[in-house]
Parts: sequence; structure tokens; C-alpha cells
Amino acid sequence: MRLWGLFVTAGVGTYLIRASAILAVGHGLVIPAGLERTLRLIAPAVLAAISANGLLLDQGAFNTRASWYAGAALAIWIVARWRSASWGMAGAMALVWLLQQAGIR
Amino acid sequence: MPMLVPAVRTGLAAGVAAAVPMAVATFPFGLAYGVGVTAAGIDPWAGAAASWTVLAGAAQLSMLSLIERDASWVVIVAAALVINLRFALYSVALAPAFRPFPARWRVGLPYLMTDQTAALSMRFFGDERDPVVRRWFFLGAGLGIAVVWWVGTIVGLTLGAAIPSSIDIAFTVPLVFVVLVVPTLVDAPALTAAVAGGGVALASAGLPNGLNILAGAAAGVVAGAIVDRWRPV
Repeated sequence: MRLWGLFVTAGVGTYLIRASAILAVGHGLVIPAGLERTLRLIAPAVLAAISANGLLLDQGAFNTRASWYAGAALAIWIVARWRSASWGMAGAMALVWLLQQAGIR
Repeated sequence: MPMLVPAVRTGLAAGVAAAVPMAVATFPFGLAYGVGVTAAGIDPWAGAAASWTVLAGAAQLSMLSLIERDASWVVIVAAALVINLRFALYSVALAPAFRPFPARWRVGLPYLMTDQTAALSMRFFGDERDPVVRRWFFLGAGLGIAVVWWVGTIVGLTLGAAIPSSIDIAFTVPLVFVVLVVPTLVDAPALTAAVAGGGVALASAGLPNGLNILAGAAAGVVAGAIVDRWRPV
């Protein structure tokens, strides 16, 4: 029940964020340019924080899985080079699988 | 009413057509989320419901990650909403185009706003001025991408249990965020925000309930804003 409450609350909050300016501008509100410039920094800041947390930490200690680091490095290269999230994920998963099959954790 | 039919058809067809290539990236992302729900060991129906209620992959995966870490209810929801604050930007950018839409469309369409739908619409609206074509385009693109996301989630949930143990499912969650963050690193302020965000999240790993992610996010935005203010124009 707690899970359902979590997902519904997050959904309602997300909808309000999505609709915020569309509904407000419909009533004549103007967004300051400075705030708009700062809002665009949210995505890299948050996504990097989550990436670092999930990739580099394991139960509060540093993650020692070398295969994960190799996979992440390959994904970064593929996405930066070809702008393809799908190929980045596929390549990284394949590399991690190969390394782990070779005994590299 | 019959006069509107060509515009409806034009907008809807263009929106669905634009969504098709996006499905190539959306489906595996949905699949990864579905697999992540299975890996997290939570109620699969509740996990799948998030794809309908939240409809935002990064936020849903962060919630999964924090649920696995037994973070508090407030932190889990706050992290999801902070991640989704970027939708406020799209909302700002799309607001002028939405202004002539009937009120029920302005209220309903934002539910379908995703990174892909917003980007496609901003591009399409640059060439198309008819508000009827515009709103049907947004509906076609938004619904097309959402359906692929929902199908990906269900397939991931279904396949999750059948995936061999030799495949490291746990890696899919941080991997999704890695592939999402790379395209956002478009300039020095964004890169600073990412480095500071990741660095502070690591440095504050001892904080309870996943608060290190919120600390990293806040530090990243502040650091990026400082660089943005100081850099030469």
C-alpha cells in the first residue's frame, strides 16, 4: 500500500510540474530568463548524482566491480559518439556479461 | 467540425510518425525499468503502475533505487520530483504554443510530456502554426511514446524472472542514468553541475535515506549556476 501511495504521489507531483507553466502562462505569467537558465542545470546535476551513487557505491562503500566501470565507460563513449542511448546500453550490458563470464567481477 | 478532420489527421499522423524512431530508445529503457522492478523484488503491479502514474523513466528508476535502500517516503518522492523538475523547463518552452488550445487540452496534454515528446514538439511547432495540428501532433507523439514505454515495462516485468542469472540485471539501473546524463553535458555549466552533483553525492554517502542524492543535486545546480554567471558571454 505504501508503494502505491508513493507512485501516485510522485505521479500527481510530476503532473503538476509538467502542467505548471502551461497553465500559468495561460493566465499571463512570465518566467524570468535567469530562472530558466538555472532550471536546465537540474538534469545534469541530478542524473550525475544518481549515476555516481548507483555506480560507484555499494552499501555505502566503494563499489569494487571492475566490469561495471568498464561497461559504464563504454556506454559513455557510445552515447557521446553516436547519441544512441539504446546502443550505449546494449554495448555496456554485453561488455559486462563478457567480462563476468571471463571471471572479472 | 468536418473542417477540422484534415488538420486532426495531419497532426496525429505526424506525431505518431515522429514517435516511431523514438521507440527504439524508449522500449529498452522501459524494459530496463520492468527488469529493475523485478530485481528490486517489489509488488510488480505497483511497479508497473508507476509507468502510468509517473511516466518518467529516470524518476521511476531513482525511486526503485531508493526503495531498495530503504529511504524514507519523503526522500523517495522528493528525489523523483527533483529529477522531474526539468519538465518545468519544457512546460515554459511549450506554454506559448499551448495558450490557444482549449482548456481541457491544456489540462490533459501535459500528462504525456516526456523528454522525447517535448523535444519533438518544440521542433514541429517551429514550422507548424495551426493550433489544431499542433495539439494533435503532441497527442500522437506523446501517446505513441507512452504506449511503447508501457509495453516495455510489461515485457521487462514478464521477462525479468526468465532472464538468466548470468546477466547482471542490477547493472541496468545505474547504466540507464549514465546514458541519460551524457547528452545533458552540453556546455561548461552543465558539466560543472554534473561533476559537482556526482562528487557531492559520493562525499556525502554517509547521509541517511538517500539524502546524499539531494545534496549532490543541490550542490550541482549551485556550482553550475556559478560557472554560468562567471563564464565569458
